[in-house]
Amino acid sequence: MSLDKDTGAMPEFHRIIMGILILALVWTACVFSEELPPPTNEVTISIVASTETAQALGSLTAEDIRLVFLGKRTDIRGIKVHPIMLDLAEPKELFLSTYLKKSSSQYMNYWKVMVFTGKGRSPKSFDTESEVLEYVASHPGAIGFVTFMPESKEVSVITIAP
Amino acid sequence: MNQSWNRIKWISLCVCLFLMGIFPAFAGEDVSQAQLLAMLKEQAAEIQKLKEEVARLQSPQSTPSANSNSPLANMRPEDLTALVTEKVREETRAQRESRTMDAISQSLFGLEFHGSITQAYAVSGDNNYLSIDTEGGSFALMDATFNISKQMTDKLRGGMQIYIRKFGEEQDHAFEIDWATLDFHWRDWLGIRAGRVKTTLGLYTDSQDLDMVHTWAFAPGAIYDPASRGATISHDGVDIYGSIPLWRAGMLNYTAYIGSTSLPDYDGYLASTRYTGMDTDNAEVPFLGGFDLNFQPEGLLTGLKIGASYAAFTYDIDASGDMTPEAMQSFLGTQTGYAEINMESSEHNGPSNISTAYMEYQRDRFKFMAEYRRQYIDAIVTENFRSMNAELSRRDEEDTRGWYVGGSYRLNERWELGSYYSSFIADSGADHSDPGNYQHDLALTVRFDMNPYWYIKVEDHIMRGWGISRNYDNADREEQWNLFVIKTGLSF
Repeated sequence: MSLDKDTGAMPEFHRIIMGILILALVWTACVFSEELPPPTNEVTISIVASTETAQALGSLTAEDIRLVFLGKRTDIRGIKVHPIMLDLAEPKELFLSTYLKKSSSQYMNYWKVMVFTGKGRSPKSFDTESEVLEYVASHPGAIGFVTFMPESKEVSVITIAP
Repeated sequence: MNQSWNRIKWISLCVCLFLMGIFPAFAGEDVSQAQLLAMLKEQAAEIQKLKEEVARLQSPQSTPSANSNSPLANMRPEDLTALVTEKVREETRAQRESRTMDAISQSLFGLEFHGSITQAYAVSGDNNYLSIDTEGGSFALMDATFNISKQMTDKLRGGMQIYIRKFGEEQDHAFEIDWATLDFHWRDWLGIRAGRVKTTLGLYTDSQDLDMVHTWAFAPGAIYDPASRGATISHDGVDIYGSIPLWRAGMLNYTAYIGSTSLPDYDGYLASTRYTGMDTDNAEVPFLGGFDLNFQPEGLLTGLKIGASYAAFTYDIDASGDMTPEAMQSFLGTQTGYAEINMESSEHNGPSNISTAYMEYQRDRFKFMAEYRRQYIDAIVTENFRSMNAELSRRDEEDTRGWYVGGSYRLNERWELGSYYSSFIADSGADHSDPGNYQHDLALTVRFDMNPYWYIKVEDHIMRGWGISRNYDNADREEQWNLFVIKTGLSF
């Protein structure tokens, strides 16, 4: 089973096994691979919070949003804040690339490091925009993002200062 | 005692695997999807039923007598539509609240669970990779984690993680508490962690085991030697940490810590002591203190992290036993004529330290990283050769250097490519052209993510030298060799 001492090459058996594995990997990739959907210009991201939270916070900067979603800022002007993720591919990618300059997988890995080293707890996430709106409406300090301007007295859009 | 301890370890492992197996029920993710589907079906049925009722009531064929008993009979069409909408909304809210309560109870009152497991197959030419018999192809590379945590208040969080690893001959499914901390996050600029805390040292010391977050299958050995993992992975003590915003410039992150730790049995240095025939009686790091400081700019350079770490430590290692003639010959460079030599050895170090400088840049799908580390050990070693009635005391100075540069690119949702070049010098004061004193490694990795939880990595290493290996890893060695790895892992 060991490699050839003179040439350092793999024996026939290993080469066949490796070849099969690589072919299987390529085949699986061809079958399952899907390009990331390119963010479309039609979708716009609105940062939302409960109306009382939004009023208390006033306007935020893009850097504030980045730090809140990285868990590095939990207190803005005396208000405890925490991020809420929308787990929908296109809005999520657009939000992460706009505000955090990260891909979805990089963001997921960032929080896995925090969780598996005992240094943080990943943000709560929801599959639908209505769930995000419902959660932020009933949880002061929760900051989320959606792709439409909600007509609601309970939820308001946070202005992002340049 | 050992049997009881082993039994506890295996029972704990089984419990962890069981919990991992029923994770969806705990996480509530699949359950909520199924529930959502059921809810939507119920909603659709309800809407259909009400629509039919409205249509029947508004039908010209419907008789006044038939309608008179229904409260909907005299309502205007727009009011009926509003009523239907409101009714569905109310029911949806009630159902959701009910199911949310179910989900809360399923997550065991706010406890959060996470885990991971990896398995690798490695095959190499000419040299074994550390203590693993990779020349013959080996599956002796497995690890698993399981953690549980709870946010007790908005400032206080607690949790712990267990870690199980099979790593060649040195570590056979050894079970350990990886971290167990209470974390008081008082302000963003000041928090305190206490307990067994993962050591912040350089870029990836605390995350080197987290295979799911890295592109590579084997971390750059020049800095993250897996056989020496236990010496720096965590400490029992206290950390203070925080992030200080520098107005419009970025964020300064700091961590400072003090504590102690002990070298685990599988540590490469202790394993090489065992190889000589001796037993380790004591292997403690009574003092470990250090800090990490890094800067993350904002604006054009968002995604850049540049920093430095420093750790000072002392250690005491005591060993005794009968050293084998082969080890003795290797040690003294000459044959002694003794069958075995009974001896005891003690090693106590003076000012020793690890210093690291690093940078990482992540932007969209691209990631680049570089790190340099120096480890300096200044120790006094005393050896009492009881069989020979002789004692030897010497100063053992070791100046180890290592660095790597690497990068990765995410092609799409599933594919990622990565590569690094790492260089290691075991003792910078010794001959740099001696293959036993250096190890250079060029690695190329292809990673494929089946889904967010399951991935496969294929990695090839082209190696020169064997400076990271220990004496017992290989009988014969070649300067140039290669290592091929396939690794798969699951995490949740």
